Amino acid sequence: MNALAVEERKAVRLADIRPVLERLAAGGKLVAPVAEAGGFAFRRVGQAEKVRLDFYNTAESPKDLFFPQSEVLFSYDAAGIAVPEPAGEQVLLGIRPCDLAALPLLDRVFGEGPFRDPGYLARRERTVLVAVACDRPRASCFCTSFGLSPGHVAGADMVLYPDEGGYLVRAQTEAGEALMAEWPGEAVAPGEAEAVAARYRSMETPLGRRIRLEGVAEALDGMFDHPMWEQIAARCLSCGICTYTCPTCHCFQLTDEAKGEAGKRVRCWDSCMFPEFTRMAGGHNPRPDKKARVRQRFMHKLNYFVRRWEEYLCVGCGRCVESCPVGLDIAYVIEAVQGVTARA
Amino acid sequence: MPEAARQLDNPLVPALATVQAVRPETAAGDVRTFQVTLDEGPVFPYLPGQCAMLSVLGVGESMISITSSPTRPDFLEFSVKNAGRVTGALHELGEGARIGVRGPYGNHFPLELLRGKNLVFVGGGIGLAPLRSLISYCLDHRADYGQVDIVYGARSPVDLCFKEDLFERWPAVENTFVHVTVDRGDGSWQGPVGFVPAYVEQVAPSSRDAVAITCGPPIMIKFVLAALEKLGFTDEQVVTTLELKMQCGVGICGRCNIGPKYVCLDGPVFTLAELKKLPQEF
Repeated sequence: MNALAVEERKAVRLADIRPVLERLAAGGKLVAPVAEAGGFAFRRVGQAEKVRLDFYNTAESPKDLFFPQSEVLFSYDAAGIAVPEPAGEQVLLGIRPCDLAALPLLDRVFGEGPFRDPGYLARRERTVLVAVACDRPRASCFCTSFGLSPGHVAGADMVLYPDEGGYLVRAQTEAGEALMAEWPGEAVAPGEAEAVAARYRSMETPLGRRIRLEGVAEALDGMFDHPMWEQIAARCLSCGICTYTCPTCHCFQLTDEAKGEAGKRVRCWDSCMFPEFTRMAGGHNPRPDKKARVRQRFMHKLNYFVRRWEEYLCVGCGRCVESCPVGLDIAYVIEAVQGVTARA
Repeated sequence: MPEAARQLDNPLVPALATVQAVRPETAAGDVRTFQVTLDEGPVFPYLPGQCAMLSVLGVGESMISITSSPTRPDFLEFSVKNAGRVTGALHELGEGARIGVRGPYGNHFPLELLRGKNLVFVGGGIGLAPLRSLISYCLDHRADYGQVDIVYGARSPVDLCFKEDLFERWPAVENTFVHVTVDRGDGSWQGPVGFVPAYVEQVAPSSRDAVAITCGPPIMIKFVLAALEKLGFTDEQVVTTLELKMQCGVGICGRCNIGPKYVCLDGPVFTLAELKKLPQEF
């Protein structure tokens, strides 16, 4: 990593982004938003015309590219244990500020604790992140509550800013500059690029939905036994969709798949919302009811993680709000904690 | 990167190990002790109270406390109660079987706190397994500790674990006293009958310059803590261990946290003073 400030990095204007997408798609390493199932999803793309930069937030976050929904940790047979080759390089184009902000949180979990996850770290290292500044926030978005914004692009190698009918493209790292090296487009003066970036940083989400977070983690220190959890959990169906769509949730399970002498151990996403999640051999379950499980999810995001890493485990992407079949909204939980509203 | 090095890099990939001996631990047959060596290299360093993930490849993994003592580093010992899928599969294994081992995980008994003190061990059932590592360790460093009392109970005489230790090895060590009770006797049982907590009160070890270390079923621990309080033990003088569902063992998978503490990383050993600061969710 070299120490060039973002302001000194290369920036260009692209009236037409298609040639660039074609170049990336031809390289076979491009992952980008495509239309799927009435919404959008990040997929490996071979044909540039499939890329949809007019997308709104994908139904699932792109965490799967770093922490796969299902991953073989090792295979074994009579001869021993074999670990799969680490992942190859990829270019993730179109990651939005909220999902981008989730990555440093996952980095803490998988890379900064006493044990490090080499598969996750290899995928992070081998992925070039091309962010897109968020020109399509949704009603459920509240990233600004977490100090983020439609222009929060820290950690991206390169950023696409939708601007004047095309894109202003700005490199933020050496890797971003290297990717840009052969791109067309007219160079942009640093001041002009910074002005566009600043405009996105100062944008509000459309409903201006902003939740006051001050003091939430501290208040929750004393609220483990508060009756509100019963009320909050009452509607929950224990379906777990909130944890699957969340860009920061990272619970998993390990499962063995065996065929005779050979087999493999697979790591799959799991969810703290499932009743079996903490059930022990013998039947004891320390989180035996919905109240305990819903409390765990919100406490983890708003208190436990803060106690361990001094950050909230939420980026305000709004996916759990969009996907919850009963409309259980983390924002209302936060407001309930604040005593601002009793709607939770 | 060479294959072996990469395996070591991933904390979720076990090392291959071989079962060198299997010992039936209880007459009831539901507890077996597995003596294990790693196929490549010596046993990893560990301290009493730490655990390891045992794999039966093709079935899964279970977190098991290490019952051997690091003062005897030639092998690892795990005493396993047949309680579920993986432990059931382990019980099917014999000498020479291949398993996977990863660890050691978790903190350990507070050796600095124990040094120079009288020690009161209170165990129930398979809960003696983690205590056994510490007892062996302390008795192998006998001069560092005062009087040692070991209070142990099981449901019935056929459920007693570690009988050789209880009735032969440990009582033979100087200033070391073993007190064994059973919930229900049988025709041959000559010893005390009664639950562990009541028996602790009866044995009445002094709390002066002492630390009590207790491990067993949750219901036993609950009443043992009350008994120890009656005997004058403060929350700082009582040490216990917790057991929760674990899958990763490295503080990530999300099962074993109690509030912000992960039993697999920050536990399994806690003083009662530490436990009282946590949400009561275990």
